[in-house]
Amino acid sequence: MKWRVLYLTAMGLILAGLIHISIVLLIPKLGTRDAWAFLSGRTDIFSFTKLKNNETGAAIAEVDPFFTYGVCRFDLDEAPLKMAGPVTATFWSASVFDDNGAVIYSLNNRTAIDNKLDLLIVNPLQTLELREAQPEEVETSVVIESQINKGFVIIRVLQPDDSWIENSQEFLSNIKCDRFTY
Amino acid sequence: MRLIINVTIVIAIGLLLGASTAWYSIKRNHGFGGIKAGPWTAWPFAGGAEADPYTMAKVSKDGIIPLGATEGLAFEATTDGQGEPLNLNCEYSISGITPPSKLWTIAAYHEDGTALEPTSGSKAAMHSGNILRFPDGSFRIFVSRRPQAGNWLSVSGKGGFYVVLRVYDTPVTSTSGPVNPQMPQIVKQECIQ
Repeated sequence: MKWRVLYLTAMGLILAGLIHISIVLLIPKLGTRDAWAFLSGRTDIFSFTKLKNNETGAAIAEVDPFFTYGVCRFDLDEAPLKMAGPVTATFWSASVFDDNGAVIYSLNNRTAIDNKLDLLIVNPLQTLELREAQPEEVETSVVIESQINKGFVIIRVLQPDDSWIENSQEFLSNIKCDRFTY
Repeated sequence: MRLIINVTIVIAIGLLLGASTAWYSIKRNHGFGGIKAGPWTAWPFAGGAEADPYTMAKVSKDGIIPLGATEGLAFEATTDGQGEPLNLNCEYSISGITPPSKLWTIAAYHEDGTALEPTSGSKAAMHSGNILRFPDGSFRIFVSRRPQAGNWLSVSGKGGFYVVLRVYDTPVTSTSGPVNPQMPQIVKQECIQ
């Protein structure tokens, strides 16, 4: 009897471990509240979309109320992504996410070259092609190699109060999110 | 018959324990992979696709867009310094200093992650640029439904809530790694029923 209880408990614990691991690993795949599904539905690939604050607040949890967001969705199967933005006095930051929601790369206006947003996102094959073609842009852009073809770039601009709206909107309006040809 | 009972027991133990530990480990403010500092927990998102699976699961469950390491770090607190859950019936003082950063913001949220409505003003939030400080650079913020002198983080409503303090462009994530960041204390004041 004693051995039976011990044996069953041990088997139960092993099963519990397996279930624990599979739940943790499956949640990002299945997603309970998918911010990415919302963004995919809202945005086209290779076009920069400003997110409206009231919409993001409802669909994405824990939005920082002092920031305005913009998103650029890319698919490297089609072409590499070239992103560029103007210099601005406002604090901004950007993160590149793969389609699982993992951060591949992030930067802010202080760490960016010349305080300008200038990114080139390529997959490993395109890296080789770029090396051969050696286009001029490679010299000035931050080149990011992504293992995954589909993803997002999220730009956040500080908008501490309403008097900054013009500034942050102008910055977001001038951000380019294009297919890169070389 | 005995086999069926055995199998049922094993499956019951497995499901109960497996599911509950998984859920607990990615619950807000709990679990693995986080940096703890008093009531605050941060889930640093180091670059690279090999992010720790608990952080990935949590981000997906909460439906948030996490901050990249170079952008900043978000600290969440669901309890006060004594470990009691934050409740809108009570008033709290958040005082001290933050980790070094270019700017920081603090905002209050409902338990589901939507922004709290303020009693007055436009946001249930404050940022480093609009805050009054003591001569030594520290600050004290009152989280309350009633107007307060000094820094008033205006909230409204009932029930539980949590606060998120975000430090942007901080060396905490980008240099030698996040070790014991200096965070403000959360102390419960009066409660009104």
